[in-house]
Amino acid sequence: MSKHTYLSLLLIFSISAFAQKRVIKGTVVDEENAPLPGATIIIQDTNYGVSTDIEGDFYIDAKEGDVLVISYLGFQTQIITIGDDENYIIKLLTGTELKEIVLTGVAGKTDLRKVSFSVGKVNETTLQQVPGVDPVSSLRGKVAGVRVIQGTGLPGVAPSIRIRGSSSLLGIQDPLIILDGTILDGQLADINSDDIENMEILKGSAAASLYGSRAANGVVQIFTKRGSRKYGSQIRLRTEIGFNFIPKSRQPSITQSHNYQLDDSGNYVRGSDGGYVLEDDRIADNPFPVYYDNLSLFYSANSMHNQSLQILNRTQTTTTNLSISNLSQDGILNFDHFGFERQTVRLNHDMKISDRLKLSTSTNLSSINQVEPDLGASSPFFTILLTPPHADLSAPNEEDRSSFNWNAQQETGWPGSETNPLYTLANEFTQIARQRVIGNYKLIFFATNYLTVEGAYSFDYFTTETDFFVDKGWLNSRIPIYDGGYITKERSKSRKDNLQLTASLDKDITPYFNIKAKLFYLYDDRNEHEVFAGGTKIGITGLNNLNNVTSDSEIIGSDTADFVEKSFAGIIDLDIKDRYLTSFLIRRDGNSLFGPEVRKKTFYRISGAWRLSEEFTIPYVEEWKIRGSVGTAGLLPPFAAQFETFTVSEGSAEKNTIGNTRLGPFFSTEIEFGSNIQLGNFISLEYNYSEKKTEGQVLPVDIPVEIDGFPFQWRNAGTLESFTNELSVSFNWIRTPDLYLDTTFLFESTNQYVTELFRPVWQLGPRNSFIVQAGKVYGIYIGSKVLTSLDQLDESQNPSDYRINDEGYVVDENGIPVFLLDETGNKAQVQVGDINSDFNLSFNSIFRYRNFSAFMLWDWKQGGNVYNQTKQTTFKELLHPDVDQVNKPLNERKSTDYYSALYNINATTSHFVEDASYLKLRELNFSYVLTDLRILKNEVSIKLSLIGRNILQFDNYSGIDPEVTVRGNGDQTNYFYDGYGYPSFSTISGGFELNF
Amino acid sequence: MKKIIYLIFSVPFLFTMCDSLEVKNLAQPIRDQVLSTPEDYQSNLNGAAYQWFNALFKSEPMMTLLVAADVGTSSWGFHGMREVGTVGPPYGLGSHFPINNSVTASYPEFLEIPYNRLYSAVTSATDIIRAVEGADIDSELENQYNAYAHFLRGLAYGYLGLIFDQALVFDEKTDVKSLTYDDFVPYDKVIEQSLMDFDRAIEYAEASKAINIMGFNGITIDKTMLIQLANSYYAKILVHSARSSSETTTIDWNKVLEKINKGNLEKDFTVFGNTNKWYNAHLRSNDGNLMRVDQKIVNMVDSNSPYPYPINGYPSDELDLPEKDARWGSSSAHKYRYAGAAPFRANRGIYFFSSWKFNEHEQFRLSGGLGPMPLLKAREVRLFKAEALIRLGTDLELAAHIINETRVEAGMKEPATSSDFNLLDKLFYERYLETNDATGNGFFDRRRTDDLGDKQFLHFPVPARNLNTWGAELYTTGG
Repeated sequence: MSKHTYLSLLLIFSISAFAQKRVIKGTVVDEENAPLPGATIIIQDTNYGVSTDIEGDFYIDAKEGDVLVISYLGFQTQIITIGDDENYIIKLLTGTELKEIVLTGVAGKTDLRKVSFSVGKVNETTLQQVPGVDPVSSLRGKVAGVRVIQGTGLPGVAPSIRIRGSSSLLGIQDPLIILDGTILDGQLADINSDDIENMEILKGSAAASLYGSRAANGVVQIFTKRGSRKYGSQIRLRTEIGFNFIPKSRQPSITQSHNYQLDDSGNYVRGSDGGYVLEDDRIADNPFPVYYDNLSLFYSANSMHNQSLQILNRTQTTTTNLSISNLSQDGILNFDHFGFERQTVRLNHDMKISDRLKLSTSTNLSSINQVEPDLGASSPFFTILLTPPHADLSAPNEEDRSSFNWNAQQETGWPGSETNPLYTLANEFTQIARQRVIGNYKLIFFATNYLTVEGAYSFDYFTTETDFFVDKGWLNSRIPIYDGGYITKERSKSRKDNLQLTASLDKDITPYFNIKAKLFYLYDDRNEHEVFAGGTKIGITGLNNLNNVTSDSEIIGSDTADFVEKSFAGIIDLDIKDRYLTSFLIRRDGNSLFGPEVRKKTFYRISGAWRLSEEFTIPYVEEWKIRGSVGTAGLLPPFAAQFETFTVSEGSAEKNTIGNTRLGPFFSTEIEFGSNIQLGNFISLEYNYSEKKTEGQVLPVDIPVEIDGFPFQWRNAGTLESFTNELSVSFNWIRTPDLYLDTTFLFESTNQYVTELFRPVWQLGPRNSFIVQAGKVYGIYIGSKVLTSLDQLDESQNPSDYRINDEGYVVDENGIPVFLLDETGNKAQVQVGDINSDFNLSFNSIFRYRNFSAFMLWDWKQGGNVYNQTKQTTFKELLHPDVDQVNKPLNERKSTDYYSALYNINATTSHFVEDASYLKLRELNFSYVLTDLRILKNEVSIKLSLIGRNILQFDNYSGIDPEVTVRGNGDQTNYFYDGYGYPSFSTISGGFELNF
Repeated sequence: MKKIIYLIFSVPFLFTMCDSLEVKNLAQPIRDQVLSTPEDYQSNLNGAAYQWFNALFKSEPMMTLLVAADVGTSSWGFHGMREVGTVGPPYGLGSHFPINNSVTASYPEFLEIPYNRLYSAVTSATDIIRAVEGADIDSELENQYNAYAHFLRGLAYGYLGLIFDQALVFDEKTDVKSLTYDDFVPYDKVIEQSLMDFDRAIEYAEASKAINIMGFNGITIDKTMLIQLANSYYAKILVHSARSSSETTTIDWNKVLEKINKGNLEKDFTVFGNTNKWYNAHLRSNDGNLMRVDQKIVNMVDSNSPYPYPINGYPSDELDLPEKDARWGSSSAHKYRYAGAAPFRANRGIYFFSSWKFNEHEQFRLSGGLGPMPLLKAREVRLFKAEALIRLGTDLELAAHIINETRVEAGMKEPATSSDFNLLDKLFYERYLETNDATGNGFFDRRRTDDLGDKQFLHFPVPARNLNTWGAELYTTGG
């Protein structure tokens, strides 16, 4: 055949082939037949491709035999070959975990497999197992390295979060929380976790640099549900009813015995001054003449309920989510007026204005009402344990026959004089009401196929009303200030507005080279105002109104704070051949909280990853990525820290702190290495190692007060470093339509050290029990140490005069414990404990068989200490069960002097440092779904659940719960300290969910 | 269309770009603001007046010093009371221990609160003296501000000298930036500065036409009263500065007498509580559950009441005491009220026990902090006068008369007479019962008569945290 003949045939075939091309129509849907807008369809081995529209439809010129590659983030890629049909419906299956998409901290929507740093992701399936009452609770045990700490059980207070090691010696370890694009401050308990679709977590500076000077603790971005997945409407009604309680086995108790003389009738012998007369041996082995179980009047099981209704809708141009919820939690006190109530309304609405313009809005309204008891020292939680059991707390007052004899203890003449806690609970409490609006309004302009411009305005406004009222007729003369009644009303308003402008580029330069880039501008303005008024005497009984305050007892005050931030950021993510991934980021923050000489700060991130599984074919290895990232981020100084301030009160000015014009933010640099491995569809594994160094710790530093009258200055004066290993392993044991079993283990271990401190040793936290010292671990207790070995005796002490008792303590000839002394003869102040755990391990498992499913989440903390000040205080009054000697062998009986010596005038003491290890069954859920039901011709499913939260706990702790902190007193994620707070409690409930 | 959309995006960008990062602290003023006008000087001085009060009259150090002096007693740990009240053997009379002056001390507040707040008052007063010097104001205002500022600085330095072993002394002419720890001076030099300031205050007050000081809650101090107070405090601080009986004898008692006579204080210097920030330790010292009258005082009134408190309980009915002194009894009207068994734990030391409570300010306590708080009683100054007369031997009749003003009224059987060999004892008897309600009075009196417990501290050391700011070695006192 001649050359010309070949050319002619080629031309004919080409013309023929061209002639065979036709427009193929297709629709891409998910497993539930919901359209997938934005899916990519490419003809294999060409550069030619199209995307689906909002209805999931696409049109492509193709010919018979062409192979279409259909892909969509978060779904398994599918391949089809064009045949005779002109209409194709392509159903994409949900991807495994590694194929999920990420939006946080990256230049654009990115496949999780292609992210070059660690991102945690919690999806809706996991979230819905045991819905938390707030978003933070929902995070617990879901992502390695994220610790969720429930330091108080007070209803309405969300737990604290710490991601990896600590960043702040000031105790600010909270990550930045972003809700649908709005940066939040304030209580997360205001948010209904049922609204959440998924959460993304950036664990530290190596990932979160895009968020600059507020992201050193990481970022948690919460995305709420935006509409139904299918066209039409979907309604979901969920209700949960149960009760809060503390299991009897975990409730505290009071000693059965005391060390006072009794007469033949079993009554106390009284001295000439009316006082109790000590037994000569001072051993607490005498029974109380009468024993009231006052604790049973203090705690009770109370109800909780949670209802939510979601109406989800999708049309060709809109998606909508309207949801309302109502939560009530009564807690565990035996008084009806305490508890937390929350109502929320959410409206998310997305609208396609034109092919190129989209409006997305999110609005959340919430209203909470909370009634809190007094907490801490002298609160009812304190006095209930310091009341001897012979005092009848249920007796009425002699003065006015009202309930709970306020001085029941004092009337018994018992040393100490605590007020009846039941009287306090009945007559003194704080009411808090908060109204909050959170909104995000976003306009997205698709300028070209690869360039998007986005403008967003978001806000978070809330007002809080805090009322404290004690009526006239207060009987407790121990707190005489309430004698004539007491009113305080505090009104605070917080307003935060921010504006974000973003230009994003997502372009395949070649089939093997994708570039994503983003330019970003943020303007953030926040202001807070507070006014406070009250009075210490009221005129008319029962009237909680400021007009009722007498003129000689008025109290007033106000406060205000304002800050502005302006930031620019640029980010470029490069993807070469799906296997070489890099990301470069720079951010410049200008912030009014920085001193005027250092108003601006630059942050950066560089990261890279190599997907080995794309490079080599390794048996059973579906995915293997190694990655490394280094990034910086910061934390803001407190509002007034840069200013030289005087405190003004009652019209006069007093010196407070000298200013610092060079005060910058905390500056954190994190290096992270990690790897993700997926073995078949069976095991997915992620390992991360992180080194975080946070310099420029903003700390109060003592300065010579003599010179200028200012006792301290805020300075960048220290460095905190942490080292974290974290591992998550998921086993997808069985995955069939009928049977499903999935198990995930999350392991994390962190060490944290204060490596520099440019100020003297610093004691802080509850009762100054913690010490910050250069070269030491962060989170150590300092106090007096009871000797445990004769070798520890001072040179002046003769070991033959001492012995070791049955509790392992060195005691003198009188059986009194001996303390470690310093060179001056005082009790030495040394490290007596360390809060840091050896490791944290969470384990969760989802099991489903047909319509039945079960979920459980266990949380294991191994090692670390907690300080039991609650126990120490009961040693003061000798009312702790340890003091009771009745059931001890005679040779082990100790006098009360032994326990008083251990009490050690309430100073931090090694005896009260306890093991904080625990294993908790945090969440448990059994559910059954009834399907194929119909109501008014609608397909309906009903889900019935039995839910338990914190229902099982194993620990060695002598108090209620070793996971305990003092609310409002320092680092809520590190300062484990049992200081008569509101204890954490368990909840058991039944759930009913209707979907149609 | 595209242009319009880009415009929509750019307008807010440009708008916010222009917004400044300079944000003012509207809640708390800065120095320029508080010193911006002469009218603001008054607010600063009022603040300094409060800081002086705040340094001294709340639980720390007032409760601490009551216990340290064996005038009050309490074995509760807070306010450092148990620390300063605890003694080694023999029972109740052994040696005291050194003050725990370390950065890790459990109760550092009783040292830090007076020290830091007194310096806040010293520096604020000095700021105003400096500001007045450079301000364009008439001489009358200049005199008024200077009188007020020097008076406050005299009070603040005075109590620094009374309470601490040493301090840093400077005035408006000192280049404070050049000062080092080597410039700290012993208490007697601090007292000198205080007395100089009182003299300056008197000079300025006398040169001014009228003075109206409103910085002490509930009262107005006019020119006459300021001169009275400055003279009276001059005398008080001079007398109380003595650390031993030998130092007491070397005091210039003529000067004391001269100042008292010149001051002629007839009314108590009393401020009023408002429960908010103006309140004092009476709220706690008059609470029988927190503090009792020390058995050493009980024993002083009635020698049949043993001291220390008997380890095996009280041998007889303590209500004999009212027969010795009508100020003691079981009704709410008595200054010292029987309160039954002490609410303290026996195993902390029965020697802390006492059945009597302070009751003079019970109404103040029951009102939650509303009512009068005498800071310097005219009675106290008159007793200083009596003491000066006795020590100078110039007019024992008058001295006895002054002592009897409360002694006889209280129903004592033996009035003081000019021939009493123990006239000073009778005088101190009155001092301990009549003047213990202002910070440190009992302590200062015991100190200057060698009557403190064995090895009890004579003064506080500079607090450890403050020593650290100078890089100075930590030290302590007592023990």
